[in-house]
Amino acid sequence: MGTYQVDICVSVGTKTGEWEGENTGADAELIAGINNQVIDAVLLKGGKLHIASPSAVGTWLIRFGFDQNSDIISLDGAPHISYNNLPAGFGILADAVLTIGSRGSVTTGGSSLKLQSGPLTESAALPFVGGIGANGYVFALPVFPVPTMLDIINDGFGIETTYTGATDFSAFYFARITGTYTTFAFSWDMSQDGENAAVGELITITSEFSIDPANSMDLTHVTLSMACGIIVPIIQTTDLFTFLVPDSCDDAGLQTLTATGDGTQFSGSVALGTLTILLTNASGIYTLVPGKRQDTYYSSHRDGTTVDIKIPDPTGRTGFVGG
Amino acid sequence: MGFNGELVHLGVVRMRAIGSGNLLTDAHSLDDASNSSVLPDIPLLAATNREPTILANFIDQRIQLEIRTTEIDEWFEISKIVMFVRPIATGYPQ
Repeated sequence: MGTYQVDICVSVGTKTGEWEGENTGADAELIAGINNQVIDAVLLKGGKLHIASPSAVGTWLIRFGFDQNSDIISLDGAPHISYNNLPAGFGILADAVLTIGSRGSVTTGGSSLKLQSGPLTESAALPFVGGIGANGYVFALPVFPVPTMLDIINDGFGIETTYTGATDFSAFYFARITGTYTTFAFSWDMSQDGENAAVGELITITSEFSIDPANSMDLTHVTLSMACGIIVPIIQTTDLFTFLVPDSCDDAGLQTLTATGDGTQFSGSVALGTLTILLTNASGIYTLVPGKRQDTYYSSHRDGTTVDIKIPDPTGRTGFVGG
Repeated sequence: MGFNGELVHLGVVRMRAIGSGNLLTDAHSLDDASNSSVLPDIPLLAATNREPTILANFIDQRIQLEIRTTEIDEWFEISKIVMFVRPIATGYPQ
């Protein structure tokens, strides 16, 4: 197990009011402000995000988003990686927490703040005071259902502020979602792993998820892929995934079949096995060539393409000794 | 030495073999009824002055040697096989 931190927003979503970054309300400055991990205590420079209108009285909302391709996730303090590059089997536990730093001056007794994970999920009203610091406000994400890392990436987060004083202000910064992750190991079986296959051949992947969910791969939450073509499932249940080798894989040679988790059971990709995809319609005239050590198939496309295939295990046996 | 149903022990196999790749060898009984014995591989050379000796430890009344290659472009030519056997028992117990 280890710890993760998602702390780099990449987009601004819904917002009401006049939010301002370092100098202006441009999205790039808002993003820079909420991502900044330090802030000047006196001048509120060095990255900030706050309501800039002459009168702050009112309720204001701003939401920020993540994406799957940007390097926004740090595992155990290591350099950031993207969601798509999470290690195979990655999964988070039910302890995700949204924390946002805050500094400023806010009238107590009337102002409040709510933190949001998804647009329909928010914390209770938090006491809204100024000058709290980097660990200002904390919202433990709901665990019914337990969020996945994909949920966190897709949902983003939001800040809803309610100011009652005209001169109230608060600068927000260093927003991050943290928690504990683990790497799950799941079993599966690929019937033709390591064998030859042809276009149109049925490939079968099986699992025992229905009887052993803790140790088996849930085949409904994976996407299978090979470099040579798109895989379309014929049957996809928790325990069974079947597909036909696509036409685009004709004569593709050695291919690795990869399963990519959608974040529900695990994130990242894992290799299920390999297939050697041969030419289709490869039968024809067989010519014996003295000294030739392999069979050569010519493509049915008649374009001169050939592929060498090993002669199946040349074998000899002696007579029986004894008796 | 003639045999008449005795159990024999295969201790050594020696052969004159040239080729490319690895020559895999196994010892088998009649109908492969007892477990076959996987013998050490022989690295093949296109030209060699050596006849490698393969140690074996297989006991049965009738013993057959299997030789094969498994990878593309591997080949072999064998001109002599010598199997060293010794009777160790008159037969299986009733």
